[in-house]
Amino acid sequence: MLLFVIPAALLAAAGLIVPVLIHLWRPPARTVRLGSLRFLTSVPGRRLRDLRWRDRFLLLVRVALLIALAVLLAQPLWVHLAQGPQRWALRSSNATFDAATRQVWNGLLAQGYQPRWLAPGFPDAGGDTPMPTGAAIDAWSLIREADARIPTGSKLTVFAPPRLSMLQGARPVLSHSEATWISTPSGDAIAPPAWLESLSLARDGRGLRARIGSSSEASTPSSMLLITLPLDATSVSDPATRSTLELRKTNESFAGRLSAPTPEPWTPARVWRPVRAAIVHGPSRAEDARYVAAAIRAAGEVADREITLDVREETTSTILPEADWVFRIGVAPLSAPLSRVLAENNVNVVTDAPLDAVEDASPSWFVAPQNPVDVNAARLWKRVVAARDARSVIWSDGFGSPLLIFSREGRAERWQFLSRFHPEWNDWVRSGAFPGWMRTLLLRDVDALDYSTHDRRLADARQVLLARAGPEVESVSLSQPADRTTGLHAWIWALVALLLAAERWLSLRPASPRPAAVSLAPKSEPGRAEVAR
Amino acid sequence: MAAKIPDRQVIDPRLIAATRDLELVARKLVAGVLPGMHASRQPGLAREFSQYRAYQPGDDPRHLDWKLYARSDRYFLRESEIETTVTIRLLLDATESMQHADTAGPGAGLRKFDLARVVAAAFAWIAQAQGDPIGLHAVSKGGVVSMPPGQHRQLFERIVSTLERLEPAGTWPADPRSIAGVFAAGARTIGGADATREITIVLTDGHEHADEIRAALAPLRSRRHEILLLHFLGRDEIDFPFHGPIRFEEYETGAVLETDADAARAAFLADQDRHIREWRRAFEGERFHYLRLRTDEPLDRALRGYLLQRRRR
Repeated sequence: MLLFVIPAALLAAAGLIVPVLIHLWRPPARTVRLGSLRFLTSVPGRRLRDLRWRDRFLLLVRVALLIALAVLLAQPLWVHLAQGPQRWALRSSNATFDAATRQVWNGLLAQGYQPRWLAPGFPDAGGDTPMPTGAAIDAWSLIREADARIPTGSKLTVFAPPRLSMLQGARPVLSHSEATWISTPSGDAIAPPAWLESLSLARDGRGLRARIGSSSEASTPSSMLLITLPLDATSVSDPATRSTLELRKTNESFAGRLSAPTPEPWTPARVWRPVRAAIVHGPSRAEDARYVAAAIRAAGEVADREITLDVREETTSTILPEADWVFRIGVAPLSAPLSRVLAENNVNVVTDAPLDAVEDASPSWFVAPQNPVDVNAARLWKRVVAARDARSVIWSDGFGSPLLIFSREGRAERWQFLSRFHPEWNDWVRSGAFPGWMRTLLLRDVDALDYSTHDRRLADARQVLLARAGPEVESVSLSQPADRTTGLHAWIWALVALLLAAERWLSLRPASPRPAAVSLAPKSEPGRAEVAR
Repeated sequence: MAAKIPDRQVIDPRLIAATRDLELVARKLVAGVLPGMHASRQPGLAREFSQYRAYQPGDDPRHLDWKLYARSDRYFLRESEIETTVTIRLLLDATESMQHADTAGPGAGLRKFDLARVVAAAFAWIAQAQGDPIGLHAVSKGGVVSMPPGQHRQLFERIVSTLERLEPAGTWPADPRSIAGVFAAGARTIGGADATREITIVLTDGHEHADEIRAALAPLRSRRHEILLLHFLGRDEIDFPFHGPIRFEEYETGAVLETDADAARAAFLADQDRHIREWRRAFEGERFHYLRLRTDEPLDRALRGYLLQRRRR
């Protein structure tokens, strides 16, 4: 395969317009007067034709010389392809073959297709090689990788269910191969589209609560069921997901798994300790405390976790309750010794706007990123102006002023909200983002659930049509082993030298003498001259 | 008499081109070749005395009239008219093609006609000096300018003057009888000249359209006159030193031919050579002499060579 290091240098071949123009331009013939034209062979048509033909040959040599020089400038390389085009049949691990698909698969193998798993490294899918398990399949990425691995002109046939979760990112544009996606059944008919998301002891300790996620080809994996089981149950069937939950009790701990039809690994039940929260508010901040208390309760409900809440108004004799979290609303700052004591007991403190702070009533907004559902900014009507200090600013308002400040004292956390938990100050406290933030703050249980492994949704068939890159896409094959390249400079130099010599010889050689011609015609009629040879 | 011919004086063609006085050039030319002239009038044994003539270098001393020398202390030869007179006719080709001048070489720019009229004048001068009747027939513009042979000094001057005024133009007359006619007229003016020797000197480039020159000369042969054909050839015609595409134009017809000179050379030279051989074959004989004169060579050398050759016969 011929490659050019500097293809733009081929434009130099445009210089061949010069010899073409030179050859097109014929200088007018010199005029010589003779006594008689009688002895001149007067076959001008033939003569000129001969002349042009010879010139044309010279022109060809000159054009070839210029093209050779242009090619030389472009630095040609001859690429020895390490291997010829290949044909791969790629099967994803979640693809199940029905009879028709099996027939296609076997037909391809009979044609010489290599059976490979659609998995990193593309292991051999024929024979005894086990099916790769584990990581989610990123089909687009794998197909792109396969295309880069195989030589140009190869063919890929992908056997996989067009599962949406496998098609992440941009659809690949293939530059070396032609790929065909053959949609297979996803195996969901056999394996239930449900999974045990979590198993935990109920709040009262007298039952187990299981979250079972489910997803089908049509529904998103967000539909989950929450079922409560007695402790002595050994198995329970969930008709909604057509799955069976097995339970096992060992040494006061429980574990569960979805068993039908294929057993999953055991998931141990988690035992949650109750979270203790206390709200201490000033005399005028009862309503603020109510919003906070409601958010804390809502968080416990949503997360199905027990949160004990102690709300009291601060008086001079108020003793700080034993708690994991203390919300101090509209009260004076803690004295340093007290704060230190709280820190030693790992008590986290959340405070709102200090009483003596200067209010800033210019409307603004802020985004609470803890709630990804509510992307709308919360409106902020009032806040207090705080002196900037070294403590880290977690949130800022729309003007960049600090709104939520975080610091640590020992292992304990100190949060300060520079506004009030009151709808007159912002509308955040009335949105769903507020209890969401409370859940994040207090329970820390919102894990990033990886739904992609359970997402059974299928993509539209048109989405798995794979496009072949146009010729404008320049791509170098990563086929292994690497292709060998040979520089063609020496050969082209030799060709240039040869052409140059030929050009010099053709342009400088004397005209070949022609055989004697005898003109018998009278000179007054040169056009009628006949040539007898 | 086998006079030694000096080989020292040549006429440079450029001199001819530069000199307007035709007679001067002719005399200079003759001075170089004079010893080669035909034997002068036969003295002594003539039946009818014609005249005394002053001795000239080249005359046989035996023919001196010693009696007259005794009386006058000068050398004279006694001449007899009838036996020694040789009528010389100059048939000059003054057609357009005589305009030909070489494009390069020693004779570049010198027309064939310039050379031809110098030679003609030279022959006229020689004839006049020897007392031979001299006539001029210049073929030009399809006709003939004719001056019948005579012996007067005035005739020589008229001939030279005519030669000086002539310019080559036109073509050779297609009818050969026009030449023969003027020759016959000339013979009549001399009166009984048929009985005298006659040399016709033809000065031509030999370019003819349909053998009209040969046709014109053929009747002259039958008259048992000697013919000396001086064939003027240019270097361009002998060597054909052209290359590449050339547009050739013919003098007399204006015909144009564009051809590759390199390719046409061999055929041109071969054809021309064959043409000359045809000429010589057609006229070769006792009374025909052919002399090729190159325009790039000194004229006297060629003429002298010819005269020397004649003397040996």
